[in-house]
Amino acid sequence: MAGRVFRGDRTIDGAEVTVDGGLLGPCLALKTFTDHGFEWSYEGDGPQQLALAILAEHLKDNDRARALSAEFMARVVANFGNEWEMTSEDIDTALANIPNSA
Amino acid sequence: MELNTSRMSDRQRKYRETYRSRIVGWYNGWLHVSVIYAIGIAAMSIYIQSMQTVLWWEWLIVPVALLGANFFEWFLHTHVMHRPQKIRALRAIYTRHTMMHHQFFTDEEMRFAGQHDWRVTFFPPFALVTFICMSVPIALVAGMVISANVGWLLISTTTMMYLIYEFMHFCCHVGENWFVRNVPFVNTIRRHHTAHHNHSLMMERNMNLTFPIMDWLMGTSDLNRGLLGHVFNGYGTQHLKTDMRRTARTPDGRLPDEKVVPAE
Repeated sequence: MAGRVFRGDRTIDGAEVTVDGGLLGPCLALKTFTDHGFEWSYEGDGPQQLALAILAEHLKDNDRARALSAEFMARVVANFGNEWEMTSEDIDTALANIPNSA
Repeated sequence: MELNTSRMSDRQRKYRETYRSRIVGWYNGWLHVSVIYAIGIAAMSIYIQSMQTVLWWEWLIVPVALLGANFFEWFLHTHVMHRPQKIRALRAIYTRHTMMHHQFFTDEEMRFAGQHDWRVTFFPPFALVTFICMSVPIALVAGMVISANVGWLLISTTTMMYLIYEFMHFCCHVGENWFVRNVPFVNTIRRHHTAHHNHSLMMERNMNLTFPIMDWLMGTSDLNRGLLGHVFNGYGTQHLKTDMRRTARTPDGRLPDEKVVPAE
């Protein structure tokens, strides 16, 4: 799906992740790495839950999202700045840079 | 209310305004610090008055307790203050630290604008009481198993480390001056903590706030040098690691030395 925008920010009330302005759900039913909330800028459970949620929303393929979540977390989510933004095209570019992600 | 000259971003400036607007009107930084140090000094005087003639070997508990407290400080900062938590009280610590302290102060602007900003740096006074209570069982065991003096020295060390923590952290967020620039340990932790406030590093690096011993031991320091070099580094930047994470607003998924693969 083209043209979607994912954004993340650390606000005074907590970490906030949106897709097209609406809150992004954690996709705990797909796999629960943590139910403590999203985080980023390091490798761990919070970043992997975020990687899974972004990929599930972007790919619309739960199995592929699960399979790619570890690598996407290590290469992308762990390198998110304090505030970040990813369009659908940015995610496609990042996935293209991950070996065996097709 | 705000610093007259600062290179802080508009985001940080707005954040500081928002944070200040949420502080209750009666907050007074001097009172906050006075309560913390009154509790600490009162506790220390009780400990010291309770000691009898201390034997030379009983003093050996001080470096042991110092290292234990240094590890506790590192662990709490790394695994609680920078990681989302499920337990409400721990989550409050995480929110107050990662979502407030680190947004209020960045490596671009580390300074308080006044005593009203101390609220976002010093722990609430009950934190010291909590840490003292956490030390009590360990001190009691040491007091019963080894000697009463060892128990009192142990809890004296952990309480003192807490007071040092607050003092060092305060020194990291004041304006540049002769004292913070030249006093050993203070100048070291000031550079160490300023680097920690870089948003690329804050989740993983420079977690000590007294002496960077555990950062050296655990490999979480931004310096590539030995223990003494770490502790007495001062403001020096010639030993910075070159392979640390650099975050971006939009990462492209490449590892540092990989070429671009165009998206299909």
